[in-house]
Amino acid sequence: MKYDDETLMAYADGELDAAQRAQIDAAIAQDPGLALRVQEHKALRARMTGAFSRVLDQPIPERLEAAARVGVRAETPARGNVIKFPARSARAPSPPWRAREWIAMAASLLLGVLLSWRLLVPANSAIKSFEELRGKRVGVVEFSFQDIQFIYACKRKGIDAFKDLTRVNLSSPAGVVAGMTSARVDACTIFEPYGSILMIEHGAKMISNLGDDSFGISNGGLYVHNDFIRKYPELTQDIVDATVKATDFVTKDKGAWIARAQQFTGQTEAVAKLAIDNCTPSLDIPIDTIRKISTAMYDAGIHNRDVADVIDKFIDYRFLEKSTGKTKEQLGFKS
Amino acid sequence: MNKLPEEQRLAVALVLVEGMSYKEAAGVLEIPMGTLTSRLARGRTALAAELADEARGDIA
Repeated sequence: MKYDDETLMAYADGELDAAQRAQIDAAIAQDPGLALRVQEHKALRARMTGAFSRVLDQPIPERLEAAARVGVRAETPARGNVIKFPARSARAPSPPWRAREWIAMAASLLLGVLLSWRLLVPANSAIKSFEELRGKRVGVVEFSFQDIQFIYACKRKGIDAFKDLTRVNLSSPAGVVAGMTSARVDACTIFEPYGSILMIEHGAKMISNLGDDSFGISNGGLYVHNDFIRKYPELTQDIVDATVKATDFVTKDKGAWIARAQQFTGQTEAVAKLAIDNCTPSLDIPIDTIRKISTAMYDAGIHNRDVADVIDKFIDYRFLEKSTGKTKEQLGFKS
Repeated sequence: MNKLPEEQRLAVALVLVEGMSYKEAAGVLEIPMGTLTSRLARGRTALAAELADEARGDIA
């Protein structure tokens, strides 16, 4: 039996049902040529995925590797000091943060990639302000951080993001780009470098950088179990030191950063430059901002409890204090 | 990947880079599954040819 390329691609992508898969498994066993074609499709898929995850393949410090080998994997992970929040209402989200985003965030912290966010409209749009979004369709990745910023910014401007406009969940940054370029939405919220790609390659216009209209400068965080800190204080310090070093690198030499971004992601120089110009490298952990984010997530129905009054107990400034030589108050803590 | 036509590039980006299922990608792009699979197939074929050319260039 002959198989066309579309079928073999679907096989390589894991899209066939069990019966179809079994047929092709049997055919591959008999036909080395067919096996080679499938292998080529799998290799291309792996290459495409790999091209965008090369940053995760950077050499790992020896101590990191050693800890991973002997400790972390050998034991059942501790529950850790983590509050779980059941959904408050039917409107509350399915999975608000996907594993890949957390991994990306962790990688970002280690490598000093800083994210920032934009509210954009297409090139030919007449929309010039938040107020003009009433009745419009806004493309989002539902309950991503930029979506939470957007909901909060709308509230500050007297707009109900759940009633006065339609938030269209486009699932991923690539989906948001597709939604904008195909005119399915009238505006979108997005993070870098996708925002800069839309601006440079598709002429999109910025209505807000979202930070200014919501919580102010926001930063990523490094999340670990208390157990991990107890067992590996030196390793934790190493990770924080690396983050500090990477942030210093971005702050002092934007040109080198732009070159590195081009090298790893294939972005054009113009996109990489615009993206980094929209970022504000910072090591601070501004507790007031975190409290505001907590309240905004509660208001939006994402959490069933506002943890603004206890969140400081879950933030450990010690490692950052040691790495930067600053006090926690200088790093953004307020009681 | 930037050399691909927009519709093929988006199909490839969503499935191969973002890791979406065909159903999810077709839903995001609001196109039928058949359209998604044909765009994906054309994009992949073009991409494979491009990468093969690059490899030849490297050897030369």
